[in-house]
Amino acid sequence: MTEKNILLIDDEETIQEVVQVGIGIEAGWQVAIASSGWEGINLAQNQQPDVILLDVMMPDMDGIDTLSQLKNNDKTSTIPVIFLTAKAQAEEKNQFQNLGVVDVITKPFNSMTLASQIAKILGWEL
Amino acid sequence: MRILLVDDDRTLVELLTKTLSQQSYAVDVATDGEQGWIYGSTYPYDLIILDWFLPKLDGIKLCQRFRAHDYDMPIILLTSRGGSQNKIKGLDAGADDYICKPFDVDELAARIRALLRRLNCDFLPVLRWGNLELNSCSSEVVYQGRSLLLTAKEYRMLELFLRHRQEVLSVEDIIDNLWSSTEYPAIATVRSHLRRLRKKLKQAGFPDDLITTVRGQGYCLKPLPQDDISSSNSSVAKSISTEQSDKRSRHLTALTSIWEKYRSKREQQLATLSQAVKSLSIGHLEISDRLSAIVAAHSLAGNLGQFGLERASGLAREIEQLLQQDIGQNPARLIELSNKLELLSQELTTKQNIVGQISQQLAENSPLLLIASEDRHFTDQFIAEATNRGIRTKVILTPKQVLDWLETKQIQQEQLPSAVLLKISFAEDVAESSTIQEYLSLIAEFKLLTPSIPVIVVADRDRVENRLLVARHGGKFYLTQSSNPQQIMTVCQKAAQYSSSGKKVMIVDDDLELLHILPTLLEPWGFKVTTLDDPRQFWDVLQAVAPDLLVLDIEMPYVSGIELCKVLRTHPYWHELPVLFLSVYQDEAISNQVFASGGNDFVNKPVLARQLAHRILNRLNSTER
Repeated sequence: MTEKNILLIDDEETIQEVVQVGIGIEAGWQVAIASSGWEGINLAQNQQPDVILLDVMMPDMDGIDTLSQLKNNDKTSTIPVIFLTAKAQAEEKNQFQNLGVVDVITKPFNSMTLASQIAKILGWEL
Repeated sequence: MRILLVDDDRTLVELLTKTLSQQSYAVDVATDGEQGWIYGSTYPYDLIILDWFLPKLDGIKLCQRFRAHDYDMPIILLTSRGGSQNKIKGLDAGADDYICKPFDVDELAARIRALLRRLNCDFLPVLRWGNLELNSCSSEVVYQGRSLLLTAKEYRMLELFLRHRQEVLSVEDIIDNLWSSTEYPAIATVRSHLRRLRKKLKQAGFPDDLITTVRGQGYCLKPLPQDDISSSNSSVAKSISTEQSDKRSRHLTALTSIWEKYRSKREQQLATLSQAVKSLSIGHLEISDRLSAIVAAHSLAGNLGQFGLERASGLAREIEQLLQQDIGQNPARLIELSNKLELLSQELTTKQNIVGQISQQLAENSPLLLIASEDRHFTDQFIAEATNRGIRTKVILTPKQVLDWLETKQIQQEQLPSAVLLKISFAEDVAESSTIQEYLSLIAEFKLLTPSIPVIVVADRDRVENRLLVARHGGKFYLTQSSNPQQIMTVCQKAAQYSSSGKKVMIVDDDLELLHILPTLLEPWGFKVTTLDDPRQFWDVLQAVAPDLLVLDIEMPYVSGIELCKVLRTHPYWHELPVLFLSVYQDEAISNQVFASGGNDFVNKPVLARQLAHRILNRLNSTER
């Protein structure tokens, strides 16, 4: 199993912990946390994570603006981004994918299968 | 194993007889179609190799005749006729495989092994009995890590017992399987081979006779001591199971403590909402307070859903939507808001202890075993065993009910089972055989799903024709009722993991013939093979398939394998994907180019399936390490 570094950008503390616990226990990957879009962009530049999990609904800078900043920055443009969002409709999901995210994971997610869901999306070994 | 070869080409017959005999198959030869029919309908063969062009009766007609008379041994058709129409004609006539002349004898031998494995429902080339391993590819027998030196006859005899582990084999059965019809070994000769085999097994350290004598009937494999069974089969499954249950309990504990940790935050959020509703009812809610209330409702909706409290999460979401509207002047809406908040508070008060809820949510992720049988005693013993291993079960009585259930699950896009366990009584009256047909159709139904769901059959008797019937319909494992519930459940667990852990191999090559053959040859190793002949579609297929390993041809039109590999290595998702190259060139310059482009291994064409499979396995194993 290869160690992976995940960056979660989500303002919800509960979700932050659930993701850390789920991914940590199930896959043993490291999860860095950012509570806002700005903090996330900064961490993404410095840490070069293998994937960014980005919440769509956030105060200040929302997920869509954060994504656009990440994609326009040479240091972060190639890092795959997965959106986390509450019950995305199929149409909305297509729109998100057109923005450059590799996939969308719907909230609430099962914390036991989150790591395998990510691995499946990115073709990683788990 | 006894093979009938029907071919009138003397040179080919000599070559094949020699090669197959060296691999310890007993080979009978017929030189025309009618003679082939007489042999095939008189003696029991494990496999028939037929030439298409034969005097008197051609291979296609002979094949059709065998099938029309219910002979269901595997048939391989040999021919110089290429082209897909001819192949379709051959396969439709009832052949199980098709190989074009000239062919590689090793490839034919590999296909024979693959078909014979399928006949025995053994999906891996290695047969195991406790700590004894027989590798049918390398013809090697290993006991407790040490190789055993066996003669060809001893090897085939041991293989015969391992393939018929539930049966008593008479001396006649052994002769029929290991000697050709032109040989007439004395019973004493067979016993002498058997004696030498037993002696070698004993010298290798086997505790006692592996092959025991059943007085008046013949010989059979001695049942394994329980310790050996657990060391060979279930210890791995058990450790996986323990690891899973350990993870589940750690997960449960961690989630419960997160829930507890944020209890006061939830209470605060409820208080914020309550205050907002009060302010609204007296007609004055500050904008900042409204925003705080919306944020609180949004946060509650997300978090409660995360812990499986769907009703509470839904209420919070509705409250959020109501707060986003200007409902200050709408008394009905205000009452609705107030009621929903009241319901939400009640939900949270009654769900103080979240352990059951989380546990249920986590359990939804555990594998589901579908058991289809009307035999209550049979199903009960498996439910208990499955529960012990953290596997959920669903019992359905009849094949028809299973089909209805499956359809509903598919329509509702709900989780399908990881494996299916069926009990089939083949000894039933002919009048009742429609039930058997229903079960067989059910097996085919699960096989045809994408991805297919493995079906494990527990049967009341162990006959080759029944095994073949199950294998033909796509059954994964055939077990007899003599196996105990623990052993059967270990197989189910293995099948469920097998179905999900089949490594995906993507092969990109412009050689269509090779692409046609490789999937059949590699699938017995458990690989899921995807082929692509046009490198221009490489990225689309790669993204869709998400393979575990890539096999690239070097020389291809439009873009070479080396160029593809270079691009792959610069890609953030795929830069670590193992890549194995195929090439007709053997020079050092090409090999240097391959490794410089980021390739992991290099295999020369013509490719032998066995060699390629081993190289793929090696590469995947070293990646996992």
